[in-house]
Amino acid sequence: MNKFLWLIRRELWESRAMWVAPAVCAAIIIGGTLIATVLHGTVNVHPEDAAHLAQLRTLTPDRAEAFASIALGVIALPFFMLVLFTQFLYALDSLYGDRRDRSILFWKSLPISDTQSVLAKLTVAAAIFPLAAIAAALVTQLIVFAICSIKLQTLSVLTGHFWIPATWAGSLLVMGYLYVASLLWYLPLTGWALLASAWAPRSPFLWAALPPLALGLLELIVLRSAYVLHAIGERVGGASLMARAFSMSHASGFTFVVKTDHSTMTIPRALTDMMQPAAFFSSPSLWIGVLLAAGFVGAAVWVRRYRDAST
Amino acid sequence: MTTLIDARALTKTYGATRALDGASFKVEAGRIVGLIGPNGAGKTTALKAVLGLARCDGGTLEVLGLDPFRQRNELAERVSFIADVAVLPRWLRVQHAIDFVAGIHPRFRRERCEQFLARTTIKRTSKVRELSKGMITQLHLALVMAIDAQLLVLDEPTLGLDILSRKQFYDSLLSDYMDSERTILVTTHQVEEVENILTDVVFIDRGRIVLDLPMEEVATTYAQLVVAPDRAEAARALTPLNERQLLGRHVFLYEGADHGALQRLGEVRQPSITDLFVAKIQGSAA
Repeated sequence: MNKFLWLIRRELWESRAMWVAPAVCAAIIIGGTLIATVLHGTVNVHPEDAAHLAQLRTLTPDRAEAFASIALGVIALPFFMLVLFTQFLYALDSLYGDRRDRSILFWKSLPISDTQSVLAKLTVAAAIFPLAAIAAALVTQLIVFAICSIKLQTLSVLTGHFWIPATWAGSLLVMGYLYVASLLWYLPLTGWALLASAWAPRSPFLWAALPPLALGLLELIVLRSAYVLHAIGERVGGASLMARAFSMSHASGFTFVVKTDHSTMTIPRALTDMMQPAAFFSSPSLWIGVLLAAGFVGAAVWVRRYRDAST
Repeated sequence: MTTLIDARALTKTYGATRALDGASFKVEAGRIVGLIGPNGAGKTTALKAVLGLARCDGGTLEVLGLDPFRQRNELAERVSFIADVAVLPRWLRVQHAIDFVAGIHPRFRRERCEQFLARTTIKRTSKVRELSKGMITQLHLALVMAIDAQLLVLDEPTLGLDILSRKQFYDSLLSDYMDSERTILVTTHQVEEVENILTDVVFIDRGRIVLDLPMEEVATTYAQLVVAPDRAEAARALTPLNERQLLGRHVFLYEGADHGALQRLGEVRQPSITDLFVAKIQGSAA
């Protein structure tokens, strides 16, 4: 186990650049908030936005809390989307990188099994990067809310509800749930990227992207159906994960006027009400994906073991 | 004497090429064995098989009593290797490299590594990419020498290094690492620089072992004879392995010849490994 921790550390030493992505994301959101709050009230507000502001100024306390929790969710979302890219790119490069710079011959000179090496890379990609992103999201949420509390005095009806512990606990719960859900949901993609990385003689990205696409097109031409392409689209797109993990059907909400033409949207009273873990974790397609991931990772270990180390 | 490596009739084919074609050799404990051969002779394939990085198609191979491919993880604790000059990852920090090997390897002795590094100008905070080739080799050597391994395998360890670094490499190896408990298997093109440190020499050519001899027997088995042109015919009659001309004189190399008979014809010398290599490899090509 101790060995495994060293392998994890080694990954973190190597891909320090990957920490930069959540940091940049945080900087952009915080910077945007600063600019927006400084400009607030000094520029001409669009009539539609003015109507929104008017609504926000007259919120009841429970609705203000709901808005605060949604704001937390909106801040966290880009971090989760970013993780999708970084973990895939990292997995794609991890095993290939060892072969590209021939350092695989150094790693293989040490008593580390190929299973341990591959699992360490999988752990970093699937579990540790998202944790880092959540940490960055939390810091961003705190800073953005602090800025808004100080700067947006005119919206004190709203900002007065920014620091209720239950709101934050709910937000953390939602992030924790999404962390586990997306970890499992995207595991086959990460596993596939590792396999392409172990296998590719060069350009692991093409090896990862082309075979599934070719299979999908073949199905389209030969069988005139699109199950493969559909399955890939479902898996890659973030929207389908969100639709599976969250639902408005259990949540109690209230209507909020979105536009001056009186179209409305339903705002949930709490994001935690939208979680549907039972339905999500009992879905067969989730576990079929996890099984596929196990197969891909096993194959990646095999390829790393049997592939001639110097090629 | 303990046999560390016992290779019998190893074969390995890559597509149409036979990288190993029935190669058999043994490495005993406490020896420094040079595996020498031309490009594509099967040196690296043989080393990979010994290290458990590749599996042979045929033959049997035991390293420290283990099957290197199946029991690679066990073997990796007792065998160290330096694949060549440039395999340390360029992003790795020197301090991290030491910490990592110390964390991973149960036989790593940190103080040995520190001692060796203290004699170099390598900074702990440097990344490998900031070091010169010679320094990278020193770092790798420091890491490997601190591992209490029974067998050290070196594959072209000094390729591309300048003369000073090469000399330094072998000096450190001999003075700081080698003792009666240690065994080294080394492949290299630069035969002259290992010649003096080897205890055994193995020639490999086209996947076959063409010579396997302790160095002390090289002197008794092989002889080089330098004669004037008028004696060349007589020298040829004694069936030399090869003949070449050098500054108007003829140089012959003999295997198992009677030294007395040779001395009557001209000057007898002990052949260098390079001479022997040329004679053996050319001989087998003829």
